[in-house]
Amino acid sequence: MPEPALIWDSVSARYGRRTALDALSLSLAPGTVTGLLGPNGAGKSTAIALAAGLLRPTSGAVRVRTPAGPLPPTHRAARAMIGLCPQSPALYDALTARENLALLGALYGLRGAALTARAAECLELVALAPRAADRVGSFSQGMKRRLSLAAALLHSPAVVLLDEPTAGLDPHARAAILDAVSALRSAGAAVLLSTHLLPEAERLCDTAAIIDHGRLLDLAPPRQLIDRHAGPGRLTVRHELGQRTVRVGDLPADLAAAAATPGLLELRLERPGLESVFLTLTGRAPRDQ
Amino acid sequence: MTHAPRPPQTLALPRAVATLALKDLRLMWRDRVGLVFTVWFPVCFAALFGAVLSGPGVPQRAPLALVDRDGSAESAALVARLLAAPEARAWLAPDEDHARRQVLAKRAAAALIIDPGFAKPDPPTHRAHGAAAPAALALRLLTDPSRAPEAAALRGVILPAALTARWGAPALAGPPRALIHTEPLGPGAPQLGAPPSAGGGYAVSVPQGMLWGVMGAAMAFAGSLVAERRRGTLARLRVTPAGLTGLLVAKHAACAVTCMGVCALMVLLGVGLAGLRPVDWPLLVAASACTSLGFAGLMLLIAGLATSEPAASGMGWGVLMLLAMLGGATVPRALMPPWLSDLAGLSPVAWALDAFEHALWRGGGWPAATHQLVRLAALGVLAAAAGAPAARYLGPARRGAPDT
Repeated sequence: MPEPALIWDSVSARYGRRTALDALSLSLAPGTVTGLLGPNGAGKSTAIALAAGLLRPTSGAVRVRTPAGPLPPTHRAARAMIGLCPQSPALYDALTARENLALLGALYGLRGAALTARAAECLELVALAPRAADRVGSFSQGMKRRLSLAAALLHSPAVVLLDEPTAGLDPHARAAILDAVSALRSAGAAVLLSTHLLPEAERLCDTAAIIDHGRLLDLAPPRQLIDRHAGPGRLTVRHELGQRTVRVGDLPADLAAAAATPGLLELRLERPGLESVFLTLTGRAPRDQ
Repeated sequence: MTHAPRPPQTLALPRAVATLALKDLRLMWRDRVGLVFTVWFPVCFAALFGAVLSGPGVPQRAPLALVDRDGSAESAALVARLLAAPEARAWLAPDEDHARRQVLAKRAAAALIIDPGFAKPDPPTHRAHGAAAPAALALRLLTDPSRAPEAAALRGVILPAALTARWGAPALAGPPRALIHTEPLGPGAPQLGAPPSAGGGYAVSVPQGMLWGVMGAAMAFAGSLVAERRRGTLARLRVTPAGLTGLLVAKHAACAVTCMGVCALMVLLGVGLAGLRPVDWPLLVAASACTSLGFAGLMLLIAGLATSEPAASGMGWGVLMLLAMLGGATVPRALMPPWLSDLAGLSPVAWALDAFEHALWRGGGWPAATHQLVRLAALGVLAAAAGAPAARYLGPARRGAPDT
């Protein structure tokens, strides 16, 4: 198994008396997408801010793998390994898309033709090449988010931190971003994806971490999480006299029994998703920020 | 997709700072409203206020140095009348050079030189500084261009006193102003017998305009730093190898460069359009640099303390307006009551104006201005040192819980 590209080692963060993150231990492996799931105020953005070096942990340590060894993300060499796509687009409206990328690329040491080529490539990736010379102020929210992703990928970072990159986007923009994330995984980047959109996390993530109140509740591949917390699902049997729904215990046996129902018209197996896991683990009460 | 992670590359800090500073300058250039306050407002201010200062102003009891070079009974009578005049606070200076220095050092609003020949029945044509004057009394009034209103008031006191001392009557036929030769000290190509020249008024308003431009630039950059926090660009830039240090140094540098640019523009306009002739160019450059350093430091402090753009704007303009008004960037200090004028010495605006005036026309060189330059530089360093740690928390950790 490859060495993790980023590690949270029992990391806690407190704001005054409030604990935003409580002894989080998590690691990102190269070539994987890890989903960070949790309700509002769970500590997702704090975990990302710690990984990006924007916050210092109250206790514990965050380490980024660099050619010089593991370093805290506040170190210059570690910062060069990280690409951050924050919740808000975080771009300069008065600059064009190309100028925004040129600025950030230059800060990561890209210059001249290499910078121009890489900026063009990233703009192509997020389908914004035709708007490269337009000021960002004229972009829609979806375009800004795509450009924000391009900005995070410009320097080909080993670790990519995506803080709700698809929130509030239309299906086309969301698909473009998710395709880009898949491509990142294929290219060997370690991706952390914080999102509220559980179906997309289920589809995309190799591992999902569910956190609430700053604590890691569980960490596993989505399918395992579902099996562990939501069970194999419900089986609906419709027959000539009506219909019945049963909670699946032993799927083969339950299916066999349902198939033997006299006058069977339809069998429907409802597989639970991450949403069920999420609600099971974090409860159903709405959260404030 | 060719996004294979590649070995990290980092940019040397000076290059990162230059890249970020250029970004700030480009953004500044594209912010039309900011440009208005930084460039056009000071130009308009200097033009209008220069015109105001070039005309007659509000009379008040003004300090007047007297030099009696005639030594006649008539000149002694004039001196006695002026020493007793309730409208002026007059005293005898030992010689013209001393009196001139009193004016340049702001201890006198003007100096009256009673030249030899004052007592003669027909005053000879008076020549001074190579300029011919009309037939007049042998009186020269050396004035401080920044105190034109006081000088005008003094002329109104001197003329009847001189006429009474010379001919026994307080009035004489003919234009009264032509009888006293007014010489504004500093720039403005003084013509004997002429009122304070336009250049004299602009010698005061151009430094004031420079200060308004510097303050406008400081406010624009303070606002932009706070806006970067709100928009999240600050967090994105902090994650780059440039880091927060590079970011703050770049913001400071871009602000200082803009301040220097505004100062240069104002001086160019003053030289080209208002006839300013700076007496000490190196001092002018140093004054611009120290002023820029001081106010760029204040910019960081304001940005570090402000929680939002409106707060930055309100706090910034509130503080800077107070400093500006107190320091003489709106009303010259000479027109303030003595206690307020003393208090004005606490304002960095007053320090900067003083340094600019010494460089532009007042003279006195480095000895006269060094302490102001040191104060401005120290202010810049201290304010930046206080503001930078505050700005350290411009990220999501500042003020309570972040948006988690």
